[in-house]
Amino acid sequence: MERGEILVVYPEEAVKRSRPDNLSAIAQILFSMSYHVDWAEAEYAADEIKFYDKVIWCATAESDRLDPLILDGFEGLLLVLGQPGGLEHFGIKPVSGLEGKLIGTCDYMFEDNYQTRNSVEVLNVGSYDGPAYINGTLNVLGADLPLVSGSGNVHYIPLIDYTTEFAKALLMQEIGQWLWVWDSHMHMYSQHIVLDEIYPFTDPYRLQQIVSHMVELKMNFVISVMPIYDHADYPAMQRFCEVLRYAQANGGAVILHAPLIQTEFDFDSLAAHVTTAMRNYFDNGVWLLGMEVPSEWIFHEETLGILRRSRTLFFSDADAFDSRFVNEYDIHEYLKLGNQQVVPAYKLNETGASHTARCSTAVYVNVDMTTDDVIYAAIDAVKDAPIPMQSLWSMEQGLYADDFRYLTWDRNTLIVNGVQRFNNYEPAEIENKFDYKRNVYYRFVTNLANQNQFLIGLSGVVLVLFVFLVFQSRQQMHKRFLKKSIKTTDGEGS
Amino acid sequence: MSASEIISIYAIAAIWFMMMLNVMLSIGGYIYIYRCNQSDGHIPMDHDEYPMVSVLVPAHNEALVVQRTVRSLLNFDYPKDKYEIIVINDNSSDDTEDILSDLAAEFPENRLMCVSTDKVVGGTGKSNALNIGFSVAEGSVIAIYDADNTPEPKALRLLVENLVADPKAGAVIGKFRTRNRNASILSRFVNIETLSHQCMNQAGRFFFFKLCTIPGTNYVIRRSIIESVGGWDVKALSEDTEISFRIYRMGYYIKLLPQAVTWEQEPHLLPVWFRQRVRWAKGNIYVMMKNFKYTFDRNAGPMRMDALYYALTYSIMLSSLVASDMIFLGGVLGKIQVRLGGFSTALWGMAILVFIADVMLTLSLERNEFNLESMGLVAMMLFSYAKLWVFVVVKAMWDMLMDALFKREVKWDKTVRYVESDS
Repeated sequence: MERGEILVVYPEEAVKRSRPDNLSAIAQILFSMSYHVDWAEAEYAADEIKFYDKVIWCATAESDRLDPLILDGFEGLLLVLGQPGGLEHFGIKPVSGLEGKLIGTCDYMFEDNYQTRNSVEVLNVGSYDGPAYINGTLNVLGADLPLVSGSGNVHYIPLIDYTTEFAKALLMQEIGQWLWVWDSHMHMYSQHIVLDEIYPFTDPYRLQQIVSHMVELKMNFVISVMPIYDHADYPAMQRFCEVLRYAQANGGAVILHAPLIQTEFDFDSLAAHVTTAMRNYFDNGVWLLGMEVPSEWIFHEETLGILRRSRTLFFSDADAFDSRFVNEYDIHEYLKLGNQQVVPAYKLNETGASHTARCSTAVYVNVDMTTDDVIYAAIDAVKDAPIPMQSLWSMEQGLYADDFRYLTWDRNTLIVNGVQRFNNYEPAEIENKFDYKRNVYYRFVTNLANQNQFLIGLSGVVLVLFVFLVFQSRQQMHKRFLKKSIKTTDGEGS
Repeated sequence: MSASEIISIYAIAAIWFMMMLNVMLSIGGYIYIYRCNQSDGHIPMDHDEYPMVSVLVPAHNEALVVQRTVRSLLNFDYPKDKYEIIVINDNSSDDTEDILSDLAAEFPENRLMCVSTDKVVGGTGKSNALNIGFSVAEGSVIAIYDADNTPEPKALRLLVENLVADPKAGAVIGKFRTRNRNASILSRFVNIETLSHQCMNQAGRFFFFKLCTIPGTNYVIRRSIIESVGGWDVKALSEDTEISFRIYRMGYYIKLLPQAVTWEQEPHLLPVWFRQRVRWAKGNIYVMMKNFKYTFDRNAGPMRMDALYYALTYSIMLSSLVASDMIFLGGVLGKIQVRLGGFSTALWGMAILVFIADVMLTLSLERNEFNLESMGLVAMMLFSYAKLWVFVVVKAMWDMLMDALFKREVKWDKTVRYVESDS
């Protein structure tokens, strides 16, 4: 049986009753950091633990009492989350007077010196006796304790809720620290600012201004364009691609956003759509260096086939890591691909800039849904952040499609469909008198808005007329039967 | 543009075209019925001017309903000496003949005749029975009633007065209502359909084009016409529609008189209803195929419109409904994706409202039919009863294809009756 690098031990109740979201958060974090992870309920962990040298001990709810005997003889790296009951022999002892679930305040500084203060929950909080490693402080009922502490192979974080953005960012940073057993500084992964879900009908002037602003700041940035299947020769598409060509020649990189899937699909149709979209951009001189995909795509064979085709992947969300994850999902197949992956940054403040460098992160900005103030604030925050930016052009790239269509970039030579191309920008002539081939049939079938309005208007007129006629006929019926009734009454009287 | 999108556009265009055509007919029908309701419909004549009328009632195993029917016919306010009732007891194996004999004995002053046939000359359908009845009829005007009808007393006099008063009218038809409308939810639907589609639609066609289709019951027709056309077509399963077209071709028109009312028993069980409607659909398709050529005949007069209307109904309406249902189903199952820019959900909402308003307009002209309950039923009909029409026509077409391939004899499928409670 193939085993992962890290074993997460959790009580059965964690999934069934208490805090499955914590496990989902841990899964999401470890996936972001590209670790192969295995999961074991405490009941079965005793037999498994000997195969691992890295264990995360997850006891984050009152019912999550794990039998410490499981860890007997374990000498590897141990990260304890939540209550540390019974782990005195690892150096974590209970703190008298701080039993039960308590609310405290913690101060914590991320590796870019970003200082935070948050309210947190702890449970039967413990303390290290003379820890060698401390990060952050925790104040509970007036007592000051280390927020994260460690000694030797063991690290301990007393928090019991890892579902907030702050706690996830903290845990990611501390997992990185826990696993970094060398004395040198840890490698810092980069962050990317991504203009997300850009369509050809996105305001080209506004897009141009945002791009120019980042070019002036000499920033590296990414534009995630939506797939276009038809009308790639239209002037609007050409103008759009003109902006993209300008961007990619000046520090920007363009990636392809995954098709929006609304119905059932198979690999062939999905691959065909992606191929069409790639061709349409390549034909307009836009060199796609990767794809932006939903995390759900990791778990389906059809979409996994598409992920194999792109060396760089931006994940637009982490929604797939829900509570089913532990029992049902297997991401080893995906991790074997060894993609260069980028995950959404944890949003610790309004700018959304990343404050952890334990994996490559993306700060997504939806141009169509966001005001200029917010967009420019995010750009400035990313630019000023100590977490470095990195150009996708500084990494090797490969993107493949059907029919041997491909793009490769070895940091020196760009090959697109077997032909060497160059990433330079030259303004193109855009035809003003474009023939849209809009004959009567075409106009009718491509935009039915007028027919729609006409039919709604016509129906409205018919409804008003019918209501009037109904009113008239009811009056007539009333008169007829009233007259009959009067006649009958008269007849009876005579 | 994908094939499903092209089909969608076709379905949308065809459905809206047919719906607006029906809206137009409803408006015309409304005006006509509204005008009719302003008088009692009578055109008084002297006693001697009333022609001799032969009332033909084809009856095949109708023991459950025929007594009630004949008593209603005997109750006409038409001069007793001016009409005869001829019940064609068409190869019945039940008590129909005995019931009729008892009735003849009970009403000796009326001219009630029972013509019984055996399986050699009879039992092959309504057209054949009518031809047999016609051969012994004495009247210069022929009236037809189905064996499950209970016409109102004034119905015959109204029909005959209007026929005699207008030499261009080849036939005059009345309105039929559902006697057992509360028997089941199905009969409630049939009641609404009878009023909206059959009566209102007929009135609209008569208002605009002087066209009506004989409904098979509650109508009078000139004897001379039956003689000229050589009787009813025994191959036709809907002999009424078939003879209507022949009347048009002779230059007459068929008049609708909504004040002449008969009440009839409609199917209250789905299998019975389905078989009856399949027979009607087969009959109508037969007539459509027989008369479609007149659509392009400039000398055919207004009947071109009727030939076209039937052709539209059984080609465009059917195909568009099948297409839209398939696309809807395909969409729900995720097999078909249609991206048509510009169409809104509001449009479908408006289509449903127009359909409901159209039917409610018809019901507003009837007593005790216009209410919220009916409105709810109409909304239910749209998604249930109306959908059955497609299955009916598809089954009819399939049967016709099989009949042609295997040279099967076209059989008359009698509608099964049941005993109604007096309530």
